[in-house]
Amino acid sequence: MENLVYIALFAPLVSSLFAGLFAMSPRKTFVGVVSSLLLFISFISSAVLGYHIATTGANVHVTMMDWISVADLHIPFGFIADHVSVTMMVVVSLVSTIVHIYSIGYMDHDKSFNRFFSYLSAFVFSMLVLVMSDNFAGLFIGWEGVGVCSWLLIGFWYHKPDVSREENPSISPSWAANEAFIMNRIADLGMLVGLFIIFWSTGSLQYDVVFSQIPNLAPAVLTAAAMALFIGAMGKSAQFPLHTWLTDAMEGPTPVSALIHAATMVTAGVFLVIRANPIFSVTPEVSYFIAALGTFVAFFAASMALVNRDLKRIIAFSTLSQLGYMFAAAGLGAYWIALFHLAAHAFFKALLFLGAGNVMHAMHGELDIFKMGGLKKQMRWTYAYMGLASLALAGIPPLAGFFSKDAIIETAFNEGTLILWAMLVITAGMTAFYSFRQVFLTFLGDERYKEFGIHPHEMYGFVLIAMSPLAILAVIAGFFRDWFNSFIIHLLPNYEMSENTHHLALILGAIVLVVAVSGIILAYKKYAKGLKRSEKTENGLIYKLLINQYYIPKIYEALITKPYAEISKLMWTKVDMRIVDATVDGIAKFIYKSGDGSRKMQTGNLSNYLNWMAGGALALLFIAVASSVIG
Amino acid sequence: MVTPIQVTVQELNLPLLVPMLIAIAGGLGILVIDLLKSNLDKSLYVMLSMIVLFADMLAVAGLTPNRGFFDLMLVDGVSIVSQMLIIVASMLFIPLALTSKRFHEFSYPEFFALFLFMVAGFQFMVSTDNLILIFVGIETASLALYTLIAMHNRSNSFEAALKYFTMGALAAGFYAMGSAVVYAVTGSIELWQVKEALSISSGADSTIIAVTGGAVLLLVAFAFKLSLFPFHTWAPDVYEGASAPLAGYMSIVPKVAAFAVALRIFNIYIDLGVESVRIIILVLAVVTMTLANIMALVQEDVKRMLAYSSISHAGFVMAALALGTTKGNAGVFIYYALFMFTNLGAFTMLWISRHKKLMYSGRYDHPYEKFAGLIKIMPIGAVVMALFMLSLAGVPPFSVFWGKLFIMSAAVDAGYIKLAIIMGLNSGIAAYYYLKLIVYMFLKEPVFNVDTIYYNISKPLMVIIGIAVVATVTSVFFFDVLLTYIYTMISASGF
Amino acid sequence: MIGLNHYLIVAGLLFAIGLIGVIRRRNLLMLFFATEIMLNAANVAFAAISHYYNDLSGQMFAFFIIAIAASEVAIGLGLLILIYKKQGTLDLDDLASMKG
Repeated sequence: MENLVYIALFAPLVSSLFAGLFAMSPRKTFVGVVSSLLLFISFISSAVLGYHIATTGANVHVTMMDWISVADLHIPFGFIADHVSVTMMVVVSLVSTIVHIYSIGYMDHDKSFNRFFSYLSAFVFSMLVLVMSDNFAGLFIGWEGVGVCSWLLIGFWYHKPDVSREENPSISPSWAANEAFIMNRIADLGMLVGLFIIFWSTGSLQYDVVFSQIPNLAPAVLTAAAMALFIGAMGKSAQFPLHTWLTDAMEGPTPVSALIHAATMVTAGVFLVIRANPIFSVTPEVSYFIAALGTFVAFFAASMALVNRDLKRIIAFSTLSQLGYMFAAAGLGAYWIALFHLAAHAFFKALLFLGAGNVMHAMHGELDIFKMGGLKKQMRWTYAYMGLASLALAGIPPLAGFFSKDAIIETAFNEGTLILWAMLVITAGMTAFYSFRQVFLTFLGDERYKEFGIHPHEMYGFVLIAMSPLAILAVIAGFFRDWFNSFIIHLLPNYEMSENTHHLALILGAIVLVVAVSGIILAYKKYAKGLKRSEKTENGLIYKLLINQYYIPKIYEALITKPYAEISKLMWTKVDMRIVDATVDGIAKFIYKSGDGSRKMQTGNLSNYLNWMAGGALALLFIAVASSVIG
Repeated sequence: MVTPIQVTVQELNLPLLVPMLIAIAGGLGILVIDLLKSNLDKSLYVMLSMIVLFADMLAVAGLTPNRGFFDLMLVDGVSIVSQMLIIVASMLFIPLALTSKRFHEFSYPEFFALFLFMVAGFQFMVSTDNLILIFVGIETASLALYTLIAMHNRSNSFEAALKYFTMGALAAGFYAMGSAVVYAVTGSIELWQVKEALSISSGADSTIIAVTGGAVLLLVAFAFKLSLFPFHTWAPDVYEGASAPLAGYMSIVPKVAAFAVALRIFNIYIDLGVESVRIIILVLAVVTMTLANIMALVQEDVKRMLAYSSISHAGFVMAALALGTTKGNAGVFIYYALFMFTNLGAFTMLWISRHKKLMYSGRYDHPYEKFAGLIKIMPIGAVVMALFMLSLAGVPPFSVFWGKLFIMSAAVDAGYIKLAIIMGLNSGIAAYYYLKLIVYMFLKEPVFNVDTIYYNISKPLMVIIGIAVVATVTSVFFFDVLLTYIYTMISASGF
Repeated sequence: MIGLNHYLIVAGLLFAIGLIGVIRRRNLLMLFFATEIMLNAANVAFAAISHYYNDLSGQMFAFFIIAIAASEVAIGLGLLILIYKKQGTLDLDDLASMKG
């Protein structure tokens, strides 16, 4: 079993290095094939490990090496496959395998094909380090690793020039990549502080050691640690107010969006909260804040998705919204439900994104859904996949989203937080509306793309086949809820609805269902027959507010970016040039001068050297004798 | 009357001598082969030397700490660790003879024979606590080294060898006189007996003066070997005059050997609480690292800059020795184990770009201008060199960083906070001149013709550089193993 | 009666003479002589101390010093001849091409 852990972990690394070997050479299909195979091996190992853990209930814990052990600092570097991490491993390796295969088709015209696979596999490796590590240090290393890979992949088409915000809201791939990286750095600082607090108060970063120490810690320390950790999670999972990077990250190739910015990396924040649940469950204030913020983000992101015209951005907003759901569940203590929604969401959201990729591929990079319509004829399979994924996302039974999202909403009711519950229900309606608005505008109605002279075509067959496991899982994953519950409670605290909620479960489910279905019907009425734009709505205040993402990117620019640039400029011209530079120059000059001065002792003349030596010896003798006489 | 010495063969413990005997026999073998058939290709001698060194290494690996050979030999952890470092560095050095261009010294089989004798000398030096054998070891190694330098056959090399030789002779005088004073005070030339005698000696003023005086005389001899201020003046000139690989070798192996002996000798004084010796060592160390750093700053030649930087590193390590703690003593060897690969790699990069004639400036082989715009001429070479520079500057996670970190934490543990701060400041200054080369390589336009650089490269050299790069980059992973090994070895020897 | 101290004083004087020679002399050959004098100062000291302690190791040390001094001279003279061939002089002041 230990070997399987290593295989699951290192197969993606091997894949990355292998593809990296060909990074400079022209496109080679076998690079993609080999990478996909290695990823598949990783998936199989994860699945076997999962089976092993499910049947025996025993964790597989390996200590790879003692990373640093000097005196009292002891950092072993190990990996663990337990119930939580094996769930993540299976999800990550499965989605990545499919995305790898998908990319062979999607990236077939890109000249940096091989480089892409190298980055993508490197990401998977980092992600597995993140989820499999048995300590916070390893988690942090993986955390930074996925950040770097995300930066590389968002900026994959770094050669595209910067344009204005009006033309492209995310300016350019490199701008978006930098934005994502910087926002994450801000949050990582919080995370580091959290790790320091933990290490300082418990003397260890090992999960088991840290968690066993919790009863001995002061509540204030725990609250501080939980808050700092959650700030890290907010950055990675793009929670308000650090959410702007996620929609801009759509500048990356679509398989990247599917893998990193929907299914895996962005859920790392949720994973962190689930992993560290012993800390969060003893800090109710922080947990409640997480739940409230999650609910707010779910609502807030869904509202922006209502009016957006960009296919990928709509899905990105919906990802944000679903991450909000997960945080709501985790914050309310239903960790296993959060993890379950995480897994289900990974399947249908990846499917949705890959479908969007097909559309984008067919439309030659066009993403505006107002310019599509009627694609059903050409892209039957993609339509089916995206329709299925949207049904799952909207929470229509018996698809996966219904079971997982319904459980979250039920939890909110069960906890008595009725405001959260109401917001989540409304969000469910909005989710259904925007998902189907997008599906209908893309696939039904008049064929608006003809004006632009585009000839869409269906994606390659093998790509469609590769997507089928995701489609199947999007349909059936929900049925495993009770099984998953009994599996995961070995590690995570169980969460059960109270008697009262249990009685009302049917009614509650019906309410959510009615709201969701009415959302779909509304979308059908408005968009299925074709696009009818109304000047009045589009000029309305709310529409403007939503389409401009509540003006938050502009506010950030006006309040943070611009003043920061101004201050930097001021600091540069006034403080830096006049004071700092002058001081540094002065010191440098002084050191240089003294270097030149002492250089003179190096005359090159042997006689002088010998004099230095003899003189030095005499001086030392004198000092020694003098000091021993005095001392 | 002196009673005749009676020992059995078991007590002689001859296996302790095997590693040195292998090296000496190898050297003699090379001379004999040359007598039988002259004008054999240098690659044969390189291979023979490698085999001998490998056998030597195996023999060292098989040693168990013990005394032997009329109690002259003392093989303990310090001895085994430093012999290992010496042999590994030698094995990295020897293949550098296989350059694509012919250089004078490597066409002589005597070069390899002398080299092996030198290795044996260093091994003797670290495997004894008898002042006679230490002296014999030092001189065997040094005399061979002087000759090796001179064999580079340039007027600068002769001058370098002569300067080194003359100052070495003076240092030998100090060593002999220092030993005589120690002998006069304690009546013994065995260090363990010296320690016993000193610990029970009277506290009279004259005794203390004699004790510290002897220590200072010995210190002068070792400060010369370790290139500590003001006995360092030979080092830049000798490094400049010697061939690049030999200069790199000199920055490692003689210093490891000298540190091992210095540890044996001065640890006695530090342990016995002779504070003046400790203070003198600390002052020398601090002045050395600072002064060498600021002098490195103003150099125009990369090799000479590396010479000053090696002096500065030696000063850094000397400070660890003065701490008198096990952590500090282990730090000496850990630092050199990590520094070895990076520094030899950097000097090898110079060797690769070495021309037979001076063509860049009137005096220097490797002026900074030569490396200007190297990224455009030889991207991989520039990146590798930059890697070595970053490592030397102590940038994490490269090898030297861990050494610096370890020694600085040893200083803090021993209560020398100020020393640790000075060390940190010095690393800051040092970063400046290493980065200067990086700036030249990456940001400036090429000054010299493209195809005149990388003139001397060959497969064996590339392998050595590859090893150095791997060791420098992956030090994160083996640092802990190395640390544990060296730490246990040093602490088991009682230091 | 001549005691240990007298020998040690002689040794010290010899050492000082050698050191002054090293400092003052500009001729390489003279320089070598001066270092030899220093080594021999140590020899005198070792022989005397050895006798004083009735312990042979000091005399052994002296013999080794003699042997080492001899080999040092061999190497030194070799270098000296090389330099003389190249430069035509043994004056130290003419031997300063490397500095700074």
